[in-house]
Amino acid sequence: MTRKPDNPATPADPLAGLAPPGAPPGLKARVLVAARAALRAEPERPDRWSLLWSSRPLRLAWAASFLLLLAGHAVLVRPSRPQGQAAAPALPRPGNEADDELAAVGRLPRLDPDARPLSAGPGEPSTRSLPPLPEQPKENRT
Amino acid sequence: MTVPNEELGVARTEESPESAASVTVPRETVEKAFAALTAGDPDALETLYDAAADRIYGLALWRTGSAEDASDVVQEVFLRIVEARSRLGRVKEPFPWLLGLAHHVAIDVARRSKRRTTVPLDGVPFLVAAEHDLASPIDAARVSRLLDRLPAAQRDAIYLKHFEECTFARIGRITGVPAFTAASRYRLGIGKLRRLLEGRR
Repeated sequence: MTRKPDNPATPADPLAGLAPPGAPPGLKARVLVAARAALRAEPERPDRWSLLWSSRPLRLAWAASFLLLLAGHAVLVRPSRPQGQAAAPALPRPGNEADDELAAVGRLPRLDPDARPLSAGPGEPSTRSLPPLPEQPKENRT
Repeated sequence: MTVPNEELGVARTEESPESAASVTVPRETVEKAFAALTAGDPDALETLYDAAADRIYGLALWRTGSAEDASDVVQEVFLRIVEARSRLGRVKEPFPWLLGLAHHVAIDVARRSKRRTTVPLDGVPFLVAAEHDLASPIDAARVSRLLDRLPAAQRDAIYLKHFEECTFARIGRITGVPAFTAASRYRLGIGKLRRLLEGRR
């Protein structure tokens, strides 16, 4: 195991003529006894969970199923609320008076069809053609 | 893949069979032992131990800095090999795979044993003199003391480069870092070791 002293790669080889020590003599018996015992021992069957984590295909299956669930969730949940449309306020159920009032508050205000336009002055008649009022009979003040 | 090494002035070509980590142990020996283990043959453990234990122990010793922990690493590596025996047939590069396993186990063991760290009185024997070299025992003890002052990651890179003859790309794969990080660790470690040997800090 010693390196050749005349190796051109190391002109002044500080390790020339030296070698690492070999394994101690008593080690062989100790190692072989332990290794043979391990060889004889029946290999333990790993439990299902450790098998799940140690097996590469099963780990991939785990990851794939998780991603599939995530994608399915995204696809199924998103269309339930159309984009740009706010959720309508929940209206109280009819039948109860207090609930009716609340319903009226929540309802969108309707424009009065007979309302005057803003441009019209307070004394001016509405531009909207209104049916002529019936003439009232003049009273005799005499 | 070519890994340049500016400091050393060489460029190594990655993945040639000659540059494989297993130089002294034939690749077939380890492959056959793996195949026999998959079939449940207990004798394959001894073959594998004879082929790989010294090198696993060496890497573990350099990583953990403790002979006791290095022994634990060797035992733990063999237990993990037994546990993984049904998948050993899929290992393409048996020896680098073994070294990578040893490296990771050594990190675990070193982390666990941090709580019970003791300072050895005579230092960690990272190196011993080679059998043919009679002048080296003093050097071995001195270099071991200096190696103890290097970060473990740099020691790893030096060990794998010097004693396993791994390319930087392979060291990177074994230790889990890019090839250039492995090269940088080796360059820094060997540079610091040289400076320490010269008496500089």
